[in-house]
Amino acid sequence: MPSPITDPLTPAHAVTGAVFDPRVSTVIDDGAALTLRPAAVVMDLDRLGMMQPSRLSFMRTLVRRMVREAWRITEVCFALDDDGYGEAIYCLEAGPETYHFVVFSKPLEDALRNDRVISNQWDLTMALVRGQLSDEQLDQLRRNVPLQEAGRMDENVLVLSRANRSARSFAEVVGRLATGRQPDVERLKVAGYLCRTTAVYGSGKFGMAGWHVVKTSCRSFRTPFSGEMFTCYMLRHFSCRQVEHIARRQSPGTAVTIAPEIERYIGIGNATGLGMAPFLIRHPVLISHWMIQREIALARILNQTDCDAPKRYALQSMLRRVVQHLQETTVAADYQTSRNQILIAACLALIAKLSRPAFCAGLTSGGWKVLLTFVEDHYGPAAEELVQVLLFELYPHLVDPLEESMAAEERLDLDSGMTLVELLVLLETHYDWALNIDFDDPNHHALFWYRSEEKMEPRLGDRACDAGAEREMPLLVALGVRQCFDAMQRFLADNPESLVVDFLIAHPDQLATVRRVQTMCGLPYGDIRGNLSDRNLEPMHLLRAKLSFFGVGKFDPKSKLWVRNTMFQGAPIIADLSQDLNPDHWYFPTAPVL
Amino acid sequence: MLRVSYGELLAQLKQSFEALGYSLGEYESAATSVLSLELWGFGGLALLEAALPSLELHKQWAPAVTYESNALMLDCFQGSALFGLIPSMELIYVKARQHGVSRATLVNCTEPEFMLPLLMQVCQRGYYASFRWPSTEDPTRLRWVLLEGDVSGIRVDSKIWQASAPLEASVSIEVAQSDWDFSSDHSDPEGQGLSLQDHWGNTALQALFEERYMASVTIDPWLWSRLQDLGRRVLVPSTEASRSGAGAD
Repeated sequence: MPSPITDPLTPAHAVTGAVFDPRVSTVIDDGAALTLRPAAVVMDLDRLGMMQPSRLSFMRTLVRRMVREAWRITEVCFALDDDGYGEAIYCLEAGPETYHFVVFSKPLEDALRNDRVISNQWDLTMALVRGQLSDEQLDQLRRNVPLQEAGRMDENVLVLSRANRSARSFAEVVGRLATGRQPDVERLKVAGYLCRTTAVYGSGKFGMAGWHVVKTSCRSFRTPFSGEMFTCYMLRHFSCRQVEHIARRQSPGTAVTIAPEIERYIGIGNATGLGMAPFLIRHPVLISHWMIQREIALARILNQTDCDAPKRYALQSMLRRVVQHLQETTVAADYQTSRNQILIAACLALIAKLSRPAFCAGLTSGGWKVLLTFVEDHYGPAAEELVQVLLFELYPHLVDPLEESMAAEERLDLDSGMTLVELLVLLETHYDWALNIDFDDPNHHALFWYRSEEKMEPRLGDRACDAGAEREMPLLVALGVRQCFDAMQRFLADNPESLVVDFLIAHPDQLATVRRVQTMCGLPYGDIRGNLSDRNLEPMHLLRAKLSFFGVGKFDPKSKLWVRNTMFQGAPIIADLSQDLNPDHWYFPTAPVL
Repeated sequence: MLRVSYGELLAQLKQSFEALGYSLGEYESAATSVLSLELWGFGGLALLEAALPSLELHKQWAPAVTYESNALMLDCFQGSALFGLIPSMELIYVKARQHGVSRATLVNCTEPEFMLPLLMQVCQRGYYASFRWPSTEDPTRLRWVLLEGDVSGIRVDSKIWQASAPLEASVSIEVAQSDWDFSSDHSDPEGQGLSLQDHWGNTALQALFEERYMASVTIDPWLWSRLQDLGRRVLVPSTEASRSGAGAD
């Protein structure tokens, strides 16, 4: 197993030998030193906005586990009326564990259908529950799950979610099935789902089981967000059964079920807003953990020297698949369309390059590192990020074991006996990116993050014109570092021999920054290198980074502040789980040919 | 009574303490302290309920710290030990690191039990800590907790002593690199203290924490509601303009 990133200046973390260079991170992996990409590259906010889903994304690891462990999912109850309203219950048997997925479907006026977290009514509400389901529990769920945030769950509930029917596809697919036709694949390319979830809650909210409980007592969902992802997977399954049911009731004589090839291409929609962004700032240790696993995977691959013809052909094949996937992706924002077009061009150019003997000879002698350097130099960092995750597909044995290391004990440690001069050096070395920001420029301190009274929805305000800056959320790491650095310099002028504890007694408000800096210097991929109060901030980059860890596709920004995307498109369906199939053959899914 | 998960309670406490005007580092630590005491069976929520009226009335300031060599005096100005004591606790630790042992006296401090989680963090660096304070239930008795730690865990022994002399309204802490370094009034050589629970080894203590952590917390709905009311102070009223700040169509 890999050891943590090493840093002689932060002995609080377990270290094993390697010398830390702030420009290049080193990790001991099975006794050998692996050089990882520098944090300045990996954690750059723009670069994070180019991340792609990979084998280590939570949806991918969940599906692998479902197939590997032969999860068995059965329908326990499917009590819907002619219009698809009612309830359904599914039982999951995963080894010795049993869970239930419960979904309630209620009528909703079109005018009330809204993707925002502040909505109060939905077409579907659902919960993932551990263990057997008693009548009493079911009654409690009936009373509380439809209320979502306003309800109270018990500690057997792991996940709570809701979803709306897609205005673009739900009724249309019902109509086609009722008349004996399969869903129109061309339309599914545009909206590849029947329902869209607007929030998925876990980790102890509203009385549910806390993450600690899930992690230690629910083996099937022990990795981060796997319970939430499974809930979305089950929603996808239910949405297909629901349209079939309505079609059958509409026209019993002619209705057909969805062909498996098409059902696999139906995912679940998702709408995500700013609510996801604070998580990335508040969980630096966890984020560092996620990023390190990705970087270790990449470093392991870059150490391989077998860039032979079969692997190059496989890479070409994957690039063609990406081209088709992107060509089948319809997005609203011009800039996203443009980015997709640039990626398509890069893929096509690279496919051609990989057919040239001279280029291949270079790869044979220099390895994948040569390829990535070439891709970044010629096609840019977005293409490089894409090719990286494709390389992951070539080496599952090097990548997949890392999925078990995605959970982390989150703790920020304080070393109060450190000299203040040492801490100053740490700041200058590891947080130079923050100290280089001029916060006296109003444009660099223009935005603030706050929680609205409406369901505590995170929002962005402009200091120049919006109310609420006095209640802003403490998310500005770069500004905090700047303020701490300045206070330290002033303190050191009078107390040159002082320790960190002396500084904290005089400046207790700097505790959080000091603790974070001391911890994160040993975990360089934890802090996002960007100014979250900059007037030109692109919050979408934050969303994209986290969503790539989830594994979403068809990234479709609707504004700077929220995005629609598709989950599980192309993934195995429940009927596939018991088959001997490759659980990973659904990256960059393409439309089926019937 | 209401049942909430530990995670939910922690998030609510952080938000409520943030609303009281404390900085990020302070409110995160204070929320963890309440939760830790609840896990340990020291009644973190009951102590919080006792402290809330004063906390809502005025912000607690850091104590005035004076020290000579490894002997420290902390004046908390009738404030709760829930806030403002992390730097002081760290100073006690640093002095123990420098001298082998350090001794601190806290005066004018309410809910001193909130120091325990901070001491636990010190002990997890491989130190010992002894913590003695007057019992609020029975002023003729002292409560005494010994924490022994290493980098991987912590052991706790908690006892009540009958006071042999008139008590001063002070709290006394000793932190040492070895339990041999404790002064005589902080050691229990004859075992005369009345043990609150058996000495917990790492494994047993971990199992106890796990058991409690796996269950949800029972909280008085009134206290929960009060915490929620407090927490709402960090929220910004919603307007049509602010809705657009979340990406409204």
